[in-house]
Amino acid sequence: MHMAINKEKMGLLALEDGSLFYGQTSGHSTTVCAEIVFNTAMTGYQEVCTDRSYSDQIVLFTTTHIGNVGVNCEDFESDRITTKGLLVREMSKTTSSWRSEKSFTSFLEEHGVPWIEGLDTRKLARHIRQNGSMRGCMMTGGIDEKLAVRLAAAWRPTTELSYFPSHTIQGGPKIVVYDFGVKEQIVKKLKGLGCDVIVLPGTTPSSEALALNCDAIVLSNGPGDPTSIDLEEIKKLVFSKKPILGICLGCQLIALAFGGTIKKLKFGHHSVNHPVYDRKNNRVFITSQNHSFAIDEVPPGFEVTHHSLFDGTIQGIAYNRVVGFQGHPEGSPGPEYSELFDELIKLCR
Amino acid sequence: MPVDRSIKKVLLIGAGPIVIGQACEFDYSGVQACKALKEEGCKVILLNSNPATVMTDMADAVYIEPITPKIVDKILSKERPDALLPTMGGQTALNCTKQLAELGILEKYGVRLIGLTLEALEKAENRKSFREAMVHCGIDVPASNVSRFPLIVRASFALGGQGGGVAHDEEELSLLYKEGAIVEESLIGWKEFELELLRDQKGNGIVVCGIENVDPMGVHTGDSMTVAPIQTLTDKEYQLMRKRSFDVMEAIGMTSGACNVQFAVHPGTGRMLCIEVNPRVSRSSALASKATGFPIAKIAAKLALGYHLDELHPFCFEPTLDYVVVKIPRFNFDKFPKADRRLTTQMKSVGEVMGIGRTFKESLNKALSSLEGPQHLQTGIDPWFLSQMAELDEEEKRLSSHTLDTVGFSHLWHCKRLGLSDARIAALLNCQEEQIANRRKELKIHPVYKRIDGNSSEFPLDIPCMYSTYEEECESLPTNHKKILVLGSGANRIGQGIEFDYCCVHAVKAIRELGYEAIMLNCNPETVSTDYDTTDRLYFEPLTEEHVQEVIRIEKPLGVIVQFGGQTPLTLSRTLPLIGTCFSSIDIAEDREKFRLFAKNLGIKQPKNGVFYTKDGALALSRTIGFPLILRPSYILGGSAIEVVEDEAQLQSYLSRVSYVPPVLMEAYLDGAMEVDVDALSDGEEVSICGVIEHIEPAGIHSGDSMSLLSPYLLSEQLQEALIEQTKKLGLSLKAVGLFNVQFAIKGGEIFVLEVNLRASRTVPLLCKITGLPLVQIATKCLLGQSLKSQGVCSKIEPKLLGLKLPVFPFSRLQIPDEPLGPEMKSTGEVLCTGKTFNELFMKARIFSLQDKSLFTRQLEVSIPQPEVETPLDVYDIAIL
Repeated sequence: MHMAINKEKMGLLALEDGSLFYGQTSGHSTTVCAEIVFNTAMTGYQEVCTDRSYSDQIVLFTTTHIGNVGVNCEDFESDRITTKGLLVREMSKTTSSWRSEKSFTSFLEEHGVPWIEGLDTRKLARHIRQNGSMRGCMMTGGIDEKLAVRLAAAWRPTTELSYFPSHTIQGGPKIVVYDFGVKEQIVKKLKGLGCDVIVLPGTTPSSEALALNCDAIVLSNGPGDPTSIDLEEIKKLVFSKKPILGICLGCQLIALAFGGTIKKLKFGHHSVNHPVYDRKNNRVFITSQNHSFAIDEVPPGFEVTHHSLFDGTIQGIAYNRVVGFQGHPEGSPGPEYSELFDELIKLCR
Repeated sequence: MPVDRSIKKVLLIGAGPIVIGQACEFDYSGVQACKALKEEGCKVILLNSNPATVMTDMADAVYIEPITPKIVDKILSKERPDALLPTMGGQTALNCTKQLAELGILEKYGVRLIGLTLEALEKAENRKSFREAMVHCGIDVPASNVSRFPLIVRASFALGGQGGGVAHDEEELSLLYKEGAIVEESLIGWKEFELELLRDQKGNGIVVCGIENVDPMGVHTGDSMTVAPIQTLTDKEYQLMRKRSFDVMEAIGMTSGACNVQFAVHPGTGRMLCIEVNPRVSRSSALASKATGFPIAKIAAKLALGYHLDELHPFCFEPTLDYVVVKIPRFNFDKFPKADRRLTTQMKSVGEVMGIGRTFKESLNKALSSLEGPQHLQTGIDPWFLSQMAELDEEEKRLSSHTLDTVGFSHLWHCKRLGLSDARIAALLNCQEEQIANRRKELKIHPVYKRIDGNSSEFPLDIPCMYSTYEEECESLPTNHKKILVLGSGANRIGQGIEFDYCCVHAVKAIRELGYEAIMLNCNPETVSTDYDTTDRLYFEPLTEEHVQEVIRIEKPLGVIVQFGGQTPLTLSRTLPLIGTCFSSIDIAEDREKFRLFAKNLGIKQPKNGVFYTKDGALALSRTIGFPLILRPSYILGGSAIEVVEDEAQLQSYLSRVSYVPPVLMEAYLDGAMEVDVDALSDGEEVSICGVIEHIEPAGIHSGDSMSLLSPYLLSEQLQEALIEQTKKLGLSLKAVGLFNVQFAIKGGEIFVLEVNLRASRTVPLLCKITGLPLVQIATKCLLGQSLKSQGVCSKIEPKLLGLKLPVFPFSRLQIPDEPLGPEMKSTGEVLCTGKTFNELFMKARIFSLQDKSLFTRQLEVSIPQPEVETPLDVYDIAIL
């Protein structure tokens, strides 16, 4: 082990393939296992670790300094920390922002979310890029390398998601948001456009949702494998002839519902700098992305509206008033692609 | 509009001489633009008055002439290009373009403006129009109807903040205010950010890099320490700034190309104001390119031809960094004691260095190492940066309570991870740098190298650029090829400027041509040598022994070339496996006592002289030589610490004031002598004379500050012969290989040798221009074993055109009166006049001096010989020499 680490505060990250990474931790001892994803955004750690799409994942931030601007009450994407653990190159000891209310480390400590810092994060990101996404075990305190590797390999994802109770946000056009792990910013954006937003748990029967007589439905982003979601109910929603916008996981659900297929990417897209080509308008948009799966076969009748200029993956599909977008038009972190929301409002009229 | 294939010939205007506010970053962007245009099949016509630029070797037709509408008119009538690309040559090119448009010259020849519209130029550069455009589009700008001091005065069409400033009262305001300026609320102390953008004609836009100024508003961004990526904004604030910056581009009517937008943010409330836009590539865009690996100027040139971003794969994305870069400006106040050292909105630095590391602390330390000397930092810095510096301070204090023996593996490893250099650690432990280097070797503490890929390793990109850090995985993967390491020249500074980057770039070219791999080590982000496709492999590292040795350890090159990077690499040569002139010869040339004895043995005359090591020795020696005297310490750069002393009192003052490397040479000052420089090539067996350069000013004035004729004017044939003979004798006896330079003084028909420089001199790029020969490449081939004869180089190279070099000075930029010239160099750059007769040279010199009086000394007009007759001026394409 080639590193100067305070023994009591040593943290270990073991990967399922046996790779070991050491760093420093805050001190308290814990063991967590999850899939590791790396995110290359240079801002927005608060948004990322409160985004429910990251539920059940350990997030590696490739940008160096994390925690610089603390935590504020406005930039949450949900009411909790969703990531199981964080891997960072350097956690900031101080906070500087006029909006900061708390330091990031005390926020993490309060929620019992462990982190390891000081490891060679670039080496780890390259390892994942070359070998595909990995399960890992973060062990802080009493370290047992063999056990950690075993735990990492044995870990299986759970798809249990805790939902917000149904709630309505007052506004104009009535939009039902199916919550598979929805980000706050999606709701905020719709509300900002004057919508009347009703957020329903993703398990809500379609009949209940359709009975609300809404103008459009948004299928939200969310964690995990989309094939584990009840497609029958989704089908009823998408065949309702209402305008539909599927975001990220929601986009994949649309594809599946109409007979398309999806595939798992080697290590996914988790970044805020991906160029996406809008085929209809011949424009490029830099988009925020967070997905491990992507559409493989386009459902019959659908056109591909967007593709990635990075790797050519399908980034948007449409058929009549059903629109799916693989990226995150709400940004947070990353640039907004607000044209999609504007389009949805237009479809409502 | 798709790519416009009707554009077949493009005129590119360069930025002119190196001055404060415009340095070699515009050579870097010009080179990229040339490459990009040629890639698209365009013929490139280039105008630049600065001969020491790589761009002037790349275009299809090259004019080294004053950048004035009249000259451009001549070039347009001769070359008839289809378009003018004005965005690569800084403020100089923009201002000339504006004049060309106003005079109807572009229209006269049917030349289209590409990469910029006149509307955008006006709205971006005219302060009042800019304000109106911003207000019209709802973009917040500083308040203008305020009366509470301090107030900021901003001038229009300004270079490096020139003409603007902070007014603390009515009197200062009336002094600063000039026609076209605007007066705004002071934002001193606000946070300052810059975004580097690219946009195409379809309206697609990307942010290549966000830069945060560590020094807040009130200090010109060129004088600020800056950091990328931005460290103290949340995503919400950053995204708002990103969106606003595109709105700003739209508002000024900037339809395609590169743009720099600057914002101020109130640290307590977050109020965000747009303060400036530059509708062109800039110093910051050069930094951003080096920080991200994204070739902004190249892409901007393609966008100007009508390309869309999505057609320029893989450059349609926003880079993301997993490292931190810190830029620190380099000042030269040491040479200008009268200048006000306080930093203001007017730029005062002469160059910059960039440190790359994995953390801010590491990058800061690497940038500080790159500076080759202490520089002061400003205050008013964001608490986040202050706390980082405080952490470093604490670590240094902790370390200084130790000794070499009590520092263990973990502690040393930790210190290296903080970016502390061996030299710094040694200073804190009170031991020698070598001891730390050895201890590291024992403990196997070595850096690893990471790639500057700009995408945080998300996608594999083969970028051959690296930086060191102390971590686990090394990505260097050196090849087994035969390779040569070339040391660059570091920060631009007076005495060591763009000329040496020019030489390094040509050396690399020759090395690659001969089938070797060329590796570059440099830390100056403004340069062509640190561009990603210049070398096979680039190490972006401080030019210190520690970093050079580590690169040698990992790359195992056949050898190191030090003679093209100026004095900095030469001072590192002691322990390196040199290719070319050996260290013992370099030591003879640099050590004043050794050289004195060497010249004596060779029977070559020097002015009456002697050396001293101590104060008492100096006083005794001065009595035997007699006043006035020149003092020349050993191993110096740009004549620093060389002084003329008139009497014993001045000598006393020198001895107590100046820190010098002994032995110091004391020599009789040859009053009124003529100074001549001879540049020569050698393969170790034979010497070829590249140029005999006659100074217009008398000896005693630094050669860099002298106006000089690149062909003898007054010098007799007989004396020329004698100079050449002595040069050959010196070169062969010192076993010089490659380029070298000898400085002579001539008085009463007698020749005296002042010094020998066993490296490429500042005048080499100029000689390349007028001889039409790639002298640096020839020299490099000599270094790698090819004889001059086999290269077809004769013993004396004749110029094909006459040349006159004019130095430019920073006095007006530093707001001080002209200072008398002396043995210490003060000029920042030079321009070249070309012509077929001396008359023509003198007339062009006059055009230069009238064009921008602030650049030249008032002495210039007096010193230039009077043209005998008014002859019509011509412009010369030096590409066809």
